[in-house]
Amino acid sequence: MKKIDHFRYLAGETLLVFNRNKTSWVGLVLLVIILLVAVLAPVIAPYNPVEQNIIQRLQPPSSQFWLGTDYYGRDVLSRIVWGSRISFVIGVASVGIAMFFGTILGALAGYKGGMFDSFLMGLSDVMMSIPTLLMGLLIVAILGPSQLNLTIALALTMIPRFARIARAPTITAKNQVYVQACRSMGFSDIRILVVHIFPNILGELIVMASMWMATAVRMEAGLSFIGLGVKPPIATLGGMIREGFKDILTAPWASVYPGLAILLIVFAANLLGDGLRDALDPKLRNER
Amino acid sequence: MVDAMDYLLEVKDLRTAFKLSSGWFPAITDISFVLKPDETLAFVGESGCGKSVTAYTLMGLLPQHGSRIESGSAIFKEDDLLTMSEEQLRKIRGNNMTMIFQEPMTSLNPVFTVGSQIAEAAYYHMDISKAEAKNHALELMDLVKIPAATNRYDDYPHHLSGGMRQRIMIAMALACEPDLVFADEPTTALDVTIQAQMLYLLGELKQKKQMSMIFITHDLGVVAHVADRIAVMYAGNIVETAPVAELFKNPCHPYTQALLKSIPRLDGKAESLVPIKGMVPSIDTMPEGCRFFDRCRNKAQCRPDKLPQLLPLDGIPDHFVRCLLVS
Repeated sequence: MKKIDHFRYLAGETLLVFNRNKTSWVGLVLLVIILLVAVLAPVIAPYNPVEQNIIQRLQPPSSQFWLGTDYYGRDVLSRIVWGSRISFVIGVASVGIAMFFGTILGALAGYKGGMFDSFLMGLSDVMMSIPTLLMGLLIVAILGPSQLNLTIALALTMIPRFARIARAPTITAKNQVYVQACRSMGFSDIRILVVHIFPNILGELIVMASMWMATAVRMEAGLSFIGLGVKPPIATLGGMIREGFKDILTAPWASVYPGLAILLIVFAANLLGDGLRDALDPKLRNER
Repeated sequence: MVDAMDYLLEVKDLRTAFKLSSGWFPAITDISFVLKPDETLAFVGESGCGKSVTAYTLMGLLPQHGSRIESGSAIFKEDDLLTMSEEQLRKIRGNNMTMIFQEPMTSLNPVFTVGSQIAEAAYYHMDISKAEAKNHALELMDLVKIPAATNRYDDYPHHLSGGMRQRIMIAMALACEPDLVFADEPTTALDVTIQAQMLYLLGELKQKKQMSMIFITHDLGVVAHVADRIAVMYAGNIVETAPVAELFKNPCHPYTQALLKSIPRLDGKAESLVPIKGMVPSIDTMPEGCRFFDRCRNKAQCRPDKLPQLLPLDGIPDHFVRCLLVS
């Protein structure tokens, strides 16, 4: 009811400011283009991404192969187009899942405090003490390798990080007088958390999410490389870098271009994240 | 009214403790007072004497961890604030009692417009539509004398000055027509001219809205303006309580006397100020007897081991003093 009105109102205001911000538009347009490329991969890609052509292997970029070919003679452009599809989906989905659950847990821990907080943060410390790649490896090993399980594994490794990120500003906000004022007006804890605290910590979460996108794509590459994610010969951006790396001195295009593609995804996500953060902060909004 | 209530709030023997690394220590002990409908009671005392803790205890706003209420009762209308469920207390907060905070710069949520924050309080507790809530908020903004309320409605807190924000805070507190308002040093963070306006406004609103107020301050000058009765606190105790005129005319507790001597007067006589020597005992080193003993100018005639009680003064039933030397 009222909650939704608040968000609709907030969304309207946000869109208004977002409209004025040029860089965030660049980010949004880039992301939409990447999304379109991912969705339309079968139409766009000039060649079959897994078809090997040993005679044409390690060709430099030319009018025939715009971005060259890799060790097995596969077209790098086609593989990037197909690979961005998987990397993009895994990156967005895993960060989205992690952000959702991490925020709920972290905000609750920060707001409630006490034993619940200590327990949850202790648990997340234990999880974070294991290197992310190893943690992801462990989870995939338990669940079995597949694209979905890889997404779940990445999300699980990132949940404690988002919990931490959500917890700190929640504690800051909780001790602000306006939260005391909310309590003095008899608002329920859930209302205070969702309506009053969440909008105040959203900015930080969005920036972190856009940064963790990069890590998710990178981790997907690592796990795919050791055969626990997306299996070769299916193209993923991370997998292409790994495969092309051994020829980097003689045929840099096989690994540099997929790297640039990752850079582009992360760059677009960061621009959009920054723009959203500014749009959500009333103090950074332009004066009316 | 059929059942004419004598008291809106009756607090007895309240004791709240905080946890330090070496154990639990009471921040306030033996707090007892009554509040009549439409009355303003001012709690006066220096920083850390427990005036805010008293208010937070009664509002149920103490931190959930590291604090506890050790004894006492607080009958508000007919129910005990200290034993009722969190849910019940939550309904009373906002509806029947609210609080105005000290920091107008941080007491409003930075991401919502000031108007919507007032309207939210009304919409949440009263059975009205959103449009009605908005109209109600605009009326309240007029009431607290915010110029051009319709234009200010969509402003964010950072657009407004401290005085304006405090007006918004007051409007929020009044949104549901409470019977009791706690004002926790509402003028301390404001400059002197704004302070005077705010006190004037609060007095006027109290007249119009017929509510009781517990006014917390360290400024005796402010008290004289707004309060009907004063309770002077020292180191977690009420040491003296009396109607305003009586207290200023006939202060009995040595601490009250010293407090009155330590504020500058503007009415001509340029006496030098008399500071109170020494420090307030910290809560983990509270003496067993009179807590003011070490700093008391009459300590030669007194004894340190006996705890004085808050007793009525002979012949003046409304004047209570906690001192062994006053009868």
